Amino acid sequence: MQSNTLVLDSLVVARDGAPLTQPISLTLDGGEMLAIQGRNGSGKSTFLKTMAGLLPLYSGSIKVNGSWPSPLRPLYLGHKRGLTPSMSVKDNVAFWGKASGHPELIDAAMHYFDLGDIPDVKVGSLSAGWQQRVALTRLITIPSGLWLLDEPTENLDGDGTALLQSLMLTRMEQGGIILAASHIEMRGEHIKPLELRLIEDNLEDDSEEAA
Amino acid sequence: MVTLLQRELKYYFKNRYEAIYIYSYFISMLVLAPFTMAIQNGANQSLVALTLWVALASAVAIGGSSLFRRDSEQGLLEYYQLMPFSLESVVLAKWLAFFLFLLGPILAALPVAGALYGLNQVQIIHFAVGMAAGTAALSIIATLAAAITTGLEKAGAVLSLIILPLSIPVMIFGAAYCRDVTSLWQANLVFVLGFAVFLLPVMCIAGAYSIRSSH
Repeated sequence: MQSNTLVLDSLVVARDGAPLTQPISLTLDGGEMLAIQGRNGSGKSTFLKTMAGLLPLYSGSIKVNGSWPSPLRPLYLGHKRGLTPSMSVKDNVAFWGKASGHPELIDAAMHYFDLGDIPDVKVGSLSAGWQQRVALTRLITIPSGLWLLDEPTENLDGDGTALLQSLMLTRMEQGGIILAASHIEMRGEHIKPLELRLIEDNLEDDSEEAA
Repeated sequence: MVTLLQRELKYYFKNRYEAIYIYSYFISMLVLAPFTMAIQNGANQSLVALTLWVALASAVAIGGSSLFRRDSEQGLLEYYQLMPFSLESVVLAKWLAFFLFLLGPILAALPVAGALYGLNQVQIIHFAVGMAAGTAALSIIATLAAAITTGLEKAGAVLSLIILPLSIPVMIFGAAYCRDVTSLWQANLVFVLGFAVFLLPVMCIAGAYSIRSSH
């Protein structure tokens, strides 16, 4: 696999056209993960959506393998699960596999997240944790070298979290880049932390110092 | 595109209550209107055209208004933008499924209308052709309006603003076609079909643009 790189240079993301975060500069190579931290409302989701190209940058630049828009088609998993509750588990998983042009990965994805026994159950009748597992099958059915994951462990039990972590490590070993906002702490030499800070944080700090 | 179309059709099949809601509106108008008319030796062709076209336009507008809302709520519209197909093809697939979903039952209801309004076979065929073209044009307008208002919090008023003026020419020429049963191929029909063909790319491009900017 070609070695991927992601370079952020003084990136400021915006919400509703107004700058949100303090400038972010960093470099990630293939096989590395960015663990995004920050309190609620600190811009984690906005940052990930901007990285996915769904929101415009406010200032600064993003370069994926030297260019932007990203030549790598990112795989973004946000708070909304992208599932149709009235359709079955298999229909939901199969749709993304076929839509990405990889129907051969559907069965593997079902099997990996232990969904093989409930293919005909309506997604809407599953618990939140199992719905999250169905949503996570996209990590397998939509191959991508750049994962953007917003709270991917939300509602998952221990087994589900372990399956996800194992999948993330495998992706990194294969040279993929992962950006994940999660409350679960992952540590390792290939995992870089990023603490997102709002623009107001500086002002608050300054005013505290002045006081 | 084929995968998207299959998914949409499957969605309609699995959510039949939505279909019943839209069709029941159409059928109610169709069935109730004859009781307000004095039908002797067949209904007045103008009144039949009026009833059927108003029922059709209302059913299409009601069905189309939520076309993109559920996808937006489930996050699908965001994820579609990162897939190896264009958002324009998503809009096209959603329209095509909506059109097919409307067309079959509406055509199937025409023989019932024939019995209620005393229409002969030639008139029923004429109405079938006219309403198929009308369903295409009106469903394109409804899809365009639904796509443009994706992400708007108070979409209702804007929906009407888009749907009403665009529907007027379709109603005028479509109803005129149904009133005149002398020939199946008329300038009125060409206008309705031409309008649909003209609006189709507008629907795809403007609809996709609006969805893209709705975050």
